[in-house]
Amino acid sequence: MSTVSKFLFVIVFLVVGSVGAMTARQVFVVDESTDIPVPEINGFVLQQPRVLPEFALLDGQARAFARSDFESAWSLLYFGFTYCPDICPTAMVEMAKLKDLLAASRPDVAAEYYLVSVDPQRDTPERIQEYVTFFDDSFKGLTGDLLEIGKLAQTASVIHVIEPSADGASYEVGHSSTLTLVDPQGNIRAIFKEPLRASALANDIDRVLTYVKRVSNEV
Amino acid sequence: MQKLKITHPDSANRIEKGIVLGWAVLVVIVILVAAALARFIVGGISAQEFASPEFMNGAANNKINADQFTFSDPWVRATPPGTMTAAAYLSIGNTGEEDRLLYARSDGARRVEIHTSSEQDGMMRMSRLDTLPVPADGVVQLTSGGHHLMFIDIPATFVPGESVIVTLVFESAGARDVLFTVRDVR
Ligand SMILES: [Cu+2]
Repeated sequence: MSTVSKFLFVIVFLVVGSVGAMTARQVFVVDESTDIPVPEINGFVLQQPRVLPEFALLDGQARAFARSDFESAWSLLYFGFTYCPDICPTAMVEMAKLKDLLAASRPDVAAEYYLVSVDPQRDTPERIQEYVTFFDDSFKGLTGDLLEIGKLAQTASVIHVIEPSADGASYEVGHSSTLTLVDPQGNIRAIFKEPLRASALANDIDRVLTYVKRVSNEV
Repeated sequence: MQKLKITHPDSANRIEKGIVLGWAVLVVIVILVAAALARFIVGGISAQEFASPEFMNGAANNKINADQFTFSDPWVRATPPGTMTAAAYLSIGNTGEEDRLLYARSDGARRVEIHTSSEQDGMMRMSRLDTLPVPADGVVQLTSGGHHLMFIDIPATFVPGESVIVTLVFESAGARDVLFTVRDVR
């Protein structure tokens, strides 16, 4: 039992409940302020952009990374962890293909691609840096305090959990597998669901960008 | 009385030839009888039967290719530097009785576990399976997003083109060594 008790991790995050319900309402309520049709995507277009909270994380060079660092470019966020051998690498591969597709179809749109760790105990800045750059040189990793990660994840409707494994010798990580689109003002504009496939994502993002532009011109 | 003398040299020659021929015929007959006897004793495999495809296949099935399992497309996902884990995939075809994959081991990892990825409560989870059933006359597939063999604590990253031997241990059929190739799917 002493070895088991060495492991301090218990379930850290639960964001479901009320946040999930709020999300559902925000997503499904019809915004009557504009006639511009909301594109149908594999996920959710947020007609009321969701403002990211302030947070304090570290990038792959262990430099402070705050909300303001999302400003200036569009951002795509995947929440995952480097110990994950199956789902996360697949998502990273699709994100790399997506980057190439968007660079070709929307050269006017500057975008940055992030992996946000939900397992900071294993994912040091160095670790996440070598992981993300394996998939694309320009990819960025974010890690840090689990509570700070939680602020970002919660706003993105990402649920994540760390639980001891059945044998107690390790722990298991669970996380929503979604892609979050953040605009250059630091607001979430869309959340894409599994299956995350580059070509479909490129199409959906293109339509969301067009929609966002039309909406902002109308205001 | 005059002694009969064989004077014609040709006729003497002919008689000698006849004797040789006679012996030869006798030898052939003896060999054929012996062969027939041998065949009777051994239990009736003629030369034709021995060379028949059915017999050859039977021998092959019993010796070399007897396996009820076929292992298709075994591969390991190439790992980023510094990574501690890797996932391996293949499909296992089974022409025999129902069996179960109990565990796997490899020099490529401190531990190999049977895992499955699935969505639960809005989260992607990876969980360990105690065993993986292999249906009779069926196929079980380990593919990305479904089941995988999880390599835990790998001593070195998996580089494309390398290969690694994994021993799969089945409940009834016993152990099988399968060669997995490292593949970069970026
Ligand atoms: Cu696994």
